Amino acid sequence: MSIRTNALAAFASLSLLAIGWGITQPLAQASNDDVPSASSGTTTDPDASAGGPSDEESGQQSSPDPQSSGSDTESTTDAATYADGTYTGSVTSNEFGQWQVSVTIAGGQITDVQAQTSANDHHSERINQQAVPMLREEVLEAQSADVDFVSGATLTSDSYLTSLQSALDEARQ
Amino acid sequence: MSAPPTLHGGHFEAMGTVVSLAAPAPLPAGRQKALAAEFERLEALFSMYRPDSEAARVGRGTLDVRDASDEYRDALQLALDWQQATDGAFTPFAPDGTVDLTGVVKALAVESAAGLLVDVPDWSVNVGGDALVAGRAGGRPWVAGIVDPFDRGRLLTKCVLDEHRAVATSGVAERGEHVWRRDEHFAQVSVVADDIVTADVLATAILAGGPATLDLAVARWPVAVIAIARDGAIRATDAFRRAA
Repeated sequence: MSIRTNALAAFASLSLLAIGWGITQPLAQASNDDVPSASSGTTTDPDASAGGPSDEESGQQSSPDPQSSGSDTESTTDAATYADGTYTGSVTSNEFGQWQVSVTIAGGQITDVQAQTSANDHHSERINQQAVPMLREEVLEAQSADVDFVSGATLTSDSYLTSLQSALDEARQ
Repeated sequence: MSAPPTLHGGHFEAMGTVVSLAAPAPLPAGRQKALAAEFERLEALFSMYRPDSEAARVGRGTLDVRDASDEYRDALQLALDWQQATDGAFTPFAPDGTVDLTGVVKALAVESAAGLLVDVPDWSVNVGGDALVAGRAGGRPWVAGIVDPFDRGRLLTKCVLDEHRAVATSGVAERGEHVWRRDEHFAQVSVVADDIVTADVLATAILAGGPATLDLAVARWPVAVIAIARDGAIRATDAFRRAA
């Protein structure tokens, strides 16, 4: 999982916590929050905070949690009863490091969210990279013997019969 | 180069294509059958080629989308969210306004299959080019080959599915998937991503939207992409570069 996925997961759990507290005011965006892909193994939303139609009430930004498909934001108690200050969620850990999310409340509204992590950004794919021109001879080569399966334009059941994938499948039972 | 791992597998027809399974150990008894049944269930719900499916009925207008199942409506909402996120390059709407969810259904089926394999540590599921893996292929990471669009009997390149687990390829010769193209630039686009919906949608979006969508996709999502133009020109992210 990417750094952003982990941050979103931690953020999401804090969001659900915030919703449980009855804090449903619009969330301020983190400063360089782009459009991440949040994956938790089920249906994936691109990023609900990208704006546009939302089925939350009063135009509130949806949570980036892909599993909260709009049904879990209900106003309960008055958020103004919560004292101003910064609330820090519990630390979660995974194989990449530790994560902790802090929420700042001022005037009864969430005004800031910060995610901190100990994970190193060693991932090879980064957001904001480029797809550059490459000559064929510069592209990573492959032989059928190197690969476990084949991805191409969608096969029909007919074109499958003469495909590289079918040759691989033949060898396996 | 080490010898390729011995893999067990099976395949079956579903959704107009073929589902290929592979794993270093045989799947538990009955599991392939359960996967086939789940694909059949989803096809009955979403296929535009089955007049009684919810998707076909919504498309014809004989079923109001508000009366459709939660599963259908969730899929529609997902497609609409992606339409937004890709600035319209991906869309569940045909030019005549009818709803067609084939752009997400295959990916959702792969995710459903993953849900039926949670107790299996190492596996790969390839639904006609949309593939998701878990674990390793017996001692090394899973490797996906990318077909050469100009010679389908050959591989253009490959990607190691170590950090990113999903790969999807969109191309000009697609059956049933109405890739409503605004731009005729690319012949084939492959996307490697953390999840199969992202990979599938972005591959479709880039094929439909052209170079501008390619730039948007790599700027906004942590993905690897290789896009081949109709004239053979290639644009790719660093993961597809041959080692020096």
